[in-house]
Amino acid sequence: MINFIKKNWFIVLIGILFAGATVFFALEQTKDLLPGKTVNGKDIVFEINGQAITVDEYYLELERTFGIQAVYQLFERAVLAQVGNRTDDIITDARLQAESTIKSFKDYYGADYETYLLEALKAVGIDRISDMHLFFESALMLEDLMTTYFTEEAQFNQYLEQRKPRIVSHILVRMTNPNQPTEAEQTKLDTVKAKIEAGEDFAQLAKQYSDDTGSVATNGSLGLVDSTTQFVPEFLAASLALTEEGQLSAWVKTTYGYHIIRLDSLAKEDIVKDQKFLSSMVSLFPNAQQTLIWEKAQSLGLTFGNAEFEKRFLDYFAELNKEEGDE
Amino acid sequence: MKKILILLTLVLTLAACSDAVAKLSNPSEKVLQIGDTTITKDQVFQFMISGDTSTVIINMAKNVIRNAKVEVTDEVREMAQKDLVLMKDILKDDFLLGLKSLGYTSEEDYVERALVPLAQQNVMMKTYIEANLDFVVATYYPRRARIIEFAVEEDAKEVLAAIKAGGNTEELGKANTTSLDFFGQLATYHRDSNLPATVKTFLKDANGPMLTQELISANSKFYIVEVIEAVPSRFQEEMITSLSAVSTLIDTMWLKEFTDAGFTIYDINVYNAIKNGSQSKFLPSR
Repeated sequence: MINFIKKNWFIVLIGILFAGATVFFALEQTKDLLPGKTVNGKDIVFEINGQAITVDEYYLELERTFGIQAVYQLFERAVLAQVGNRTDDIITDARLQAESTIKSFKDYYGADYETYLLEALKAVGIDRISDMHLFFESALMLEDLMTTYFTEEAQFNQYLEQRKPRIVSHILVRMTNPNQPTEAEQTKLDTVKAKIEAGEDFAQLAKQYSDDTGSVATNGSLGLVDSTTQFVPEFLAASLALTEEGQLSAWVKTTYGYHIIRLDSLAKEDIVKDQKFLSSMVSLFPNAQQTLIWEKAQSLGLTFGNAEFEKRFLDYFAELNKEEGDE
Repeated sequence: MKKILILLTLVLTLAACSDAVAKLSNPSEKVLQIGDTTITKDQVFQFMISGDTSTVIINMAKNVIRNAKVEVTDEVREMAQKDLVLMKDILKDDFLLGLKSLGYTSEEDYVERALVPLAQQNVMMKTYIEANLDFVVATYYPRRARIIEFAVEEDAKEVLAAIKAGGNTEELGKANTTSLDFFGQLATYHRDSNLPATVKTFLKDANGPMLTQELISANSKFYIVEVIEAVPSRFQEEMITSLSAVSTLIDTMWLKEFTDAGFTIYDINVYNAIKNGSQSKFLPSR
């Protein structure tokens, strides 16, 4: 051995230096790292006062605090993946929304955007940016499912009865002080009045004369209006008082000036396709999403791995159904 | 053989080059199954730790210390029951609804998870304050005092004159102010009391019983302050009760407990949760 070392002293020296460098490198790399610990085969998350808390104990505590909500999110996604109507439109829209989200994060966060985006995605149960479209697909399928549910007779009739939905248009003649119109304001009001009395097309008049910049592009259409719409009270009351399609209101004075309102439609198909329909229905049936998902899950078959969690999960939905029934 | 040894060395070196992540002992265990989709424990765990879990972690750690330091005796349970009665009295019909909104499943659950730990903490605070009396008194300068708050200066001046003439501060306060917080009642005040800085300065500078000779004005309000007792040892029990609820002092006590108890983290996700969450003051050094 000694002879071998003497004979190959240079190679041995290189070997020792290499081994030393490796150990140094390993120590240098690991000195700031958080070490792990295992007790009785279980991973530890922290120790305090000589007591080790395992990751399993940590899970149980988290589950007791956040478990129902966390599981619900995963549960809803699993249900939607099985019962949702994954149309080509939904797939395309989801991809477009994912691309748009990536672009927004890139614009806002620059080179570090992936870190922030991943953090946001983790909060909704998505692990990879490439899977983000699945989140949007899920949201769009839920929207589709909810719209179908809300158009069912029972829910829609309740909406009609409680909130008097309708599609309306208006023409606004804006005035600085509606109690004392200027000459120009009065002239404009008289002109519009005369044209309406002459039977001219309301949409064309709105396009030409209305001072409401928000609705002029849609020929005066405000879309869906119901009893919860945030309009000035005089305007909302006049909108809801109309009963026949095509009917015009009297001129309504508000803080903005004078309006004339037309009831465009009371038809279900027009109400349902308005963008505001879903949010209005959700406010009327706040627990509908969970109850609907619950019904679908039951039709798919549902089993639990743990009786205690099963009870809490079932109680959660029973409570939601009770609240829905109380309304 | 040499190649294998070199390869092993490299693998071992690289394997140690990352922070530790604790793994569940049964990650693929079923939580629930819907149709053909199974949701596992690990999926739920990953989802849960993506939010701010720092409060849960710190509460777990506090529970270890609380249970080691303060046994849940009948006396502790009695303290918890007193707090329960107080809460019910304040919230009345909204009590159960309030509990549910806070995530408690029942009154018993609330007592066990919130009020008993609070009673244990109060016992710990008493011990801490007694053991660190000089520091606590020097930092929080507790005083027993009567304070009356007025919205109208003339009303305040009249009452101050009446007190100087020998009138009873509490009676005059009750009769002449609409303030629900400061109406001349005898109370313990300190550095963190919800009072204007000028009033707290007067309290701090008072070395014995004294009355404001001039009104103290702050934020369009006017104050009469009568210090009844400035020596904390003469009202130690009231001082401890009052300071036991001061959040900054509670934090100071807990930080010392965490250091003494050797709080050590072995999971990078837990470390980051505390570092980035609402409980970062408890983050131990690595």
